[in-house]
Amino acid sequence: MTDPLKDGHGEGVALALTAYSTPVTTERRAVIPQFREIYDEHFHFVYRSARRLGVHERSLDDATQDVFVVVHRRLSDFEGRSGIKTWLYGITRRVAKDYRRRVSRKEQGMVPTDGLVSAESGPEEDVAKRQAAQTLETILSALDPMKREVFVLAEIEEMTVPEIAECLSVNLNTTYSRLRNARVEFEKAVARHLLMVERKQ
Amino acid sequence: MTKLSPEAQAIVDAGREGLTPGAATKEQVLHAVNSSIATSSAGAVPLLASSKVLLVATLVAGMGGGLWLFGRGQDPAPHEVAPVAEVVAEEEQAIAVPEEVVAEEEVGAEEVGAEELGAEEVGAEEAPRVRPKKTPKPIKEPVASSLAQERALLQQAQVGLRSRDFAGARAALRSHKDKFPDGLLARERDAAMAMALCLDDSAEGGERAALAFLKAHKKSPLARQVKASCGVE
Repeated sequence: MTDPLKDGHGEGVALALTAYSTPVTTERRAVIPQFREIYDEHFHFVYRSARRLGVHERSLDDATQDVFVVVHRRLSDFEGRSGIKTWLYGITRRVAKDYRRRVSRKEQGMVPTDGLVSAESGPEEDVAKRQAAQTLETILSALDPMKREVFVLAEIEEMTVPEIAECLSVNLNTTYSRLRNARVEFEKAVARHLLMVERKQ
Repeated sequence: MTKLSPEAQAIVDAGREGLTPGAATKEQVLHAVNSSIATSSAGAVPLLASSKVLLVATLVAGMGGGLWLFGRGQDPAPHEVAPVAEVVAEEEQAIAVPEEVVAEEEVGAEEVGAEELGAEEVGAEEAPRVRPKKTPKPIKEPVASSLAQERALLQQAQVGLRSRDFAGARAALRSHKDKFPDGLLARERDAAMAMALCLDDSAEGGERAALAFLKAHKKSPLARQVKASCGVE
């Protein structure tokens, strides 16, 4: 585990920490959740988002750590104007971008590990989890990238359409339209996948 | 909005489970976060010590009349943009041209006409053309035409943003900045530029642009979009 404030990718974090500060009223503070609540509730969302946003499997822990260090430092500036998930997604996207750059600069050509193997579950369970994740990712890869992003945020992360629109800076109606089309495409891809599985059997 | 079929929903649920780390990972990362926070808090001690040096340096600089310069050096002025009416609909993803702006533009066009008329009158009397001490601000072209061009460039950028052609969007925005550095839509341009930089993996400077925009236009309706796109609050 690395210290994001000391190593190379702390640059982005450090910049985030110097973001403008706004006085937060006591009333505001009352409705904003505490750090630990945010961590407990959104850890999985941040982790999965970092993965989906292209962070290498073996850097996922570090990237997630970086996101929450930023969250901890900036929570007093968070005014609650945007949703907490929108805020977290923005931070995650920026941290992930930083990680992708570092990988592309320093580790080009390295083959990614297949990840998702944890020390806390048995090998069979790991295999099943990995297969489920791979199946989902294979099906998702059939979707247009913009629709896929909306679909994932809606169906996997269970975000509302207004939250997604805000996260992606996309018009609300456009987001609804993309989600509708993405669901249709996803259903088609699922049907194709199931057909292929049946043929193999 | 239609829901997914049971088969599709099952794949989504299983896939989500497969992508989700276990409790041990969650605890491990939390421990690392706490360590980082503690480390950075400990790092505040030397920072405080160095800030005393800075304070002394500031006082010395102030005595020498350099305080202003010192302050400027630490906190550079944000990018200046011309104020325009804040009327961009939040859901329309910036760059819509407000009616108020068009109204201002029409008034501006009338003023141009009046100045031109004045020049003709001077010419008719064949009076010597004496350059006034305070030269009026040169008007490059009619405002209406400028605004149309500004809109066209920003619409081009908006199309780029929507289609994720961020380089194309930035090219349009740079073109806008070259032609209309203090244009009526300068604020929208700066917001769009920050977003085009933040959303593009291959680009740098997105956060800087976003923070500069937010510092200059904290209450702008566009601030929310910039924050969401750039992950700054």
